[in-house]
Amino acid sequence: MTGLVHYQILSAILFCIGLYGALSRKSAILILLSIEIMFNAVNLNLISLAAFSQFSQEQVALGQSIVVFVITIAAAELALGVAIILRIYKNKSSIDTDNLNLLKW
Amino acid sequence: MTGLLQYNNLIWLIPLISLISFVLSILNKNSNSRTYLLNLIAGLVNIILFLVVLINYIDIGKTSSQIVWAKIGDTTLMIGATVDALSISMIGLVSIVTFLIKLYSLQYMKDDPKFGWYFACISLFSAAMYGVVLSDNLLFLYGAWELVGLGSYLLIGFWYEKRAAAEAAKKAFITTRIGDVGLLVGSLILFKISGTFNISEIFHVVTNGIETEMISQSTVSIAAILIALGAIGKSAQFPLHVWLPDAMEGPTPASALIHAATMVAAGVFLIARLFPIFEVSNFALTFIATIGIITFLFAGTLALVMNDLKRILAYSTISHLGLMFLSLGCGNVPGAIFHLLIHGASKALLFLCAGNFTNLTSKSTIFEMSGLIKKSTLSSFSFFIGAATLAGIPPFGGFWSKDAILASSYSAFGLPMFAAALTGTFLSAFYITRIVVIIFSNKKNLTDKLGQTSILMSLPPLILSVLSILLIGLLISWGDRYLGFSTFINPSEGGENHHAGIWIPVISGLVTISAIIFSWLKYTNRISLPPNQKILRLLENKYHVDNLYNYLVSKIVLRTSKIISAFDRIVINDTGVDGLASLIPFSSLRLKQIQTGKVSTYLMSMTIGLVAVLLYMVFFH
Repeated sequence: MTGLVHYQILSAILFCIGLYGALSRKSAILILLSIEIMFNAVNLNLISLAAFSQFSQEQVALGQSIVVFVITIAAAELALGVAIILRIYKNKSSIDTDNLNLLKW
Repeated sequence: MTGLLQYNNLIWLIPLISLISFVLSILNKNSNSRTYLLNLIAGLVNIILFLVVLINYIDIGKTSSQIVWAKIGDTTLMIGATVDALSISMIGLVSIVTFLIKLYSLQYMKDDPKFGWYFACISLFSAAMYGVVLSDNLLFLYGAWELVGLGSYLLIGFWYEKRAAAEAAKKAFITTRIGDVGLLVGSLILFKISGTFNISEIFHVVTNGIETEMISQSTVSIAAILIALGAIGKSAQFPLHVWLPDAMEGPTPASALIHAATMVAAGVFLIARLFPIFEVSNFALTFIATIGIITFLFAGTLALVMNDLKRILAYSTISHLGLMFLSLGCGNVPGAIFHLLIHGASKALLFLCAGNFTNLTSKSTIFEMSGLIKKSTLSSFSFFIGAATLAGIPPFGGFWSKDAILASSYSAFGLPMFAAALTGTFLSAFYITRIVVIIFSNKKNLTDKLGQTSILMSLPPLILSVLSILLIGLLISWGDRYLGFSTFINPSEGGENHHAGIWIPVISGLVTISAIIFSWLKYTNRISLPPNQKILRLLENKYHVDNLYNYLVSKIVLRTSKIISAFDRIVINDTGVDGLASLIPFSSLRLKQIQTGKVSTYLMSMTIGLVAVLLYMVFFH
């Protein structure tokens, strides 16, 4: 009844929602939040592939361990992103990404 | 040393000495004494060289020598010099007249700040003139021809601070340039036919080709007419004569040198030099004769109404050059060259005396100069001899030369041309007598405070008047080496006599004398011949030729050039060059706006790129 396809569609929708959020948010924290949603979508995709596949036990374990890696990396990168945002806030008293446009012509 | 003085190499020295004196004069522009000494010595050396070459010519005969200039494919371009009777006569005229003019200019230009530059220009001009006269191939001739035009430009516009002089120099150069195009295209046609620029080789090829029907006569006619166009420009013949009267803005000795004796004679010389080409085509000969007679009459009528002495002499020069062209068109080359020599000597003399008169009286129109005869006897005497020679009073030189030309015009073209030439002779005697009568009349229009003419300024005209009388001696045979001027110039033609009987000299003598009598009667107011007002107006406006040319230039040429320059500016420059160049800043202006600096924009572009790659992978792989 619920098959691989449903999970993958859900993952795709989640990814697009995250992508849309990352592209159109002004606040830097909300961009990071959207990136987290994208990470979750990717995790969901990997786990569903691992669960519904006809792979052997080792290969399933491979899928699950990739997910663990991704969660770890997401956490680390989130910490780094928040640290950068804190620095920017210290400098500019705002985290509006529209103001972060010095790297241009 | 003997190698250098060999006959062949000697002929190179003649233009070379003038060229060296030009260079040294430029380097010594500011030191008056060195410059004039240099130039005088150069002039004397040239006369000595002329005499040496003449003696060699009488002993040895023709010679020529060439230097290779460049090789282009199969063709070798040479610079060459040749000495034959024609070039010897011209070298003689140029060297003697130039030296005398230099003597005269010493005094005349003494106070001018550009004294050194004046002598440099004279040297440059004479070097180029020797180049034209000695050259044995058409390419070198053309180069020297253009240099002569440059020398003339520099000398006419010598006092360039005067607007009129600058304009006159421009007019001279541009008008002769129009003729020079003809010379260039004509020589290129001849090169195409015969494969060489060397004049004697061209003669061989053309005469053989015409005999064997390999070269069409119309091609040679066209080449001949184009070359005649060059001569018409340089010798101020009818359509291209407008520069010569205006050229009187230059210093008087320069006018005497260039516009009486040498440069304007270059056109006549060119046709004489290339005469075998003209001989082939009757059409070209008739063309030259027609232009000659038209100019002879046209300028003769204009000389009647001018008041400025130099301008009258200028129109008289144009008129006599027309007579020389007529002689060439009738096939009489020796007659034309002899008249060239006589006219050169006497016209230069008249110009120099005009300079003397202008100096004495500070006036330039003949009406204001009357009463001079008692004041400057030497110049007046020379002037009188020159005028008599030019008018053609027997036994002076002009009579014999005109007689020869009139005889050949009768034998070549029959009665109408002869009648026209006689009318021209009448006009010529008439206007010259007008000048003499008015200047030497007894009316005292002058103040009595006149200076003396220095010996340097009165001696050259005297020498020239003696020369013009001595030139008559060329007509006689001296022993068995020299059989008269016609055989000197045309050794192959034997003793051809152009005498059609005794009545031609008699008629021309009567015409001349009656013209003198009429003119004397009119201008001493013994009879009154009131001029027709309409004709007078036409003549005073110089037949509106100048107006026509001004109209053509300003309305047609300048307007066309405005349109073309607008095209050049708008299409080629603004749109093409500047437009293409401005494409780069424009595109960079637009493209740099991709870098907004906003994070979301960058994320968006990354996403788009990723989607594009994925689509490509799905659909095209």
